[in-house]
Amino acid sequence: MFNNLKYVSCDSFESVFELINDSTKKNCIIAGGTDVITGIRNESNRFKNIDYIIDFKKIIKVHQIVENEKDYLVGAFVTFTELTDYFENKKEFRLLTDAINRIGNLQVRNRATIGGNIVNCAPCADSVPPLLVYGATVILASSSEEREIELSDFLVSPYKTTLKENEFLAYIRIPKEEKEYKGNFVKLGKRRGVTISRISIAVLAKIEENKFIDIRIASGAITPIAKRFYSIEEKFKGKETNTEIIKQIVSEIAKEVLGQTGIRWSYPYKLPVFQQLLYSEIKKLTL
Amino acid sequence: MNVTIKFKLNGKEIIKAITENKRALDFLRDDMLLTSLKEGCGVGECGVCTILVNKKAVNSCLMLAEQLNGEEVYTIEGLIEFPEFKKLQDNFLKHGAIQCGFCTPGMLVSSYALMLKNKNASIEEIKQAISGNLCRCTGYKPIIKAIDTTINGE
Repeated sequence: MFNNLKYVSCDSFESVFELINDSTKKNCIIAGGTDVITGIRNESNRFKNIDYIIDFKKIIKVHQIVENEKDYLVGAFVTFTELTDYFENKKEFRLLTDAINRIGNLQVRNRATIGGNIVNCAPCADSVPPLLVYGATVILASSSEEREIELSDFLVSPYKTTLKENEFLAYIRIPKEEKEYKGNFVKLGKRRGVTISRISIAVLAKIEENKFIDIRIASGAITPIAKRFYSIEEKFKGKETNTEIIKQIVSEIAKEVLGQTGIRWSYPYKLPVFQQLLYSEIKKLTL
Repeated sequence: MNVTIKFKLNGKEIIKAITENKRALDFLRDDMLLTSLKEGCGVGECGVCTILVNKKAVNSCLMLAEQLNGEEVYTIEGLIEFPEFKKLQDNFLKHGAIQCGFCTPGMLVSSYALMLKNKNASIEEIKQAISGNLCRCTGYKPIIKAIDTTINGE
């Protein structure tokens, strides 16, 4: 299954472009490889008939985190462990580090990367809901241009992004946190460790004098791809932080999910739990 | 397929041509004859193929052999040279942290990776460190005890 593919270690973006611009060949960029290798072995459709596996190990700049005045530029090939070590030290993006610390196990987090998690585009990708509430953008490189788009516009459907064949995800830009925001990340799985999210929620809110000034809500594993609930967020703005109001607004979220995806076999269980979890996470922020 | 990889394995410089694509697990077991590594689940959940790459525990079933290029790699065949590792191994025996033994090499590598990173790990941190290693015999308590004793004393 691995035999027909050629492993190429590139040392510059240019050498990668040379390979990915050849539309007669099917390429697969490998970062940590934790999804790619199992995908190839399972002969999953996405990984069939690959000609080249492209390794970025020698391209240092995509393995680094750079702090700018207003944001952090995170290389797509930064591993989960490197990312959590860096941001836990800086005390930034706690929702993101909390989410990542619950992905797989230590061995996987030591290899798997933030870019891989995004490009793989699984509905349950745990790093995505926090990145959505932090307003992350992705920077896609190709030989003709570098384009920067909102993460929410990058994710299309399960395992499908807007990434073109001749480009790759190079960096993720995360705006620095505004300190007046408080937030939580919660994950529901079958166990505490080594488990795939059944429901994940990231909430970030700015509350002043018992009023919601702003709130951002994203969920994973509920809809086909992780999603921000803009219309629900809008309803919170300016409202008081009392229990009844939170309950009432949160109760509308099921309708929004159903409107987007239709009924699924898991919803009689999932939606009430989702609603209750969301309610209690928002409630915690108001206390 | 002809990629030559150069890496450090158990303290020794290795230069090897990879003639066919395979996982690091298969390469280390079949070509380098390091049979402490085993294949369990093959998808990164059970931890019996755990190796140390640049002092971090990783699953060798989720790596290609080529990805070892330039890295410093240890398996228990090499770690045995370190007195701290020997102490860990002795404590596994002393506290009955071994029954069938299938998970033991991976458990030892994960525990040793923790010892390198954290000189006074708590029980919670020990549990976290071995959360990627499944053991179906011991119920984990003797394993946690063995690691705790090695790190924090009796």
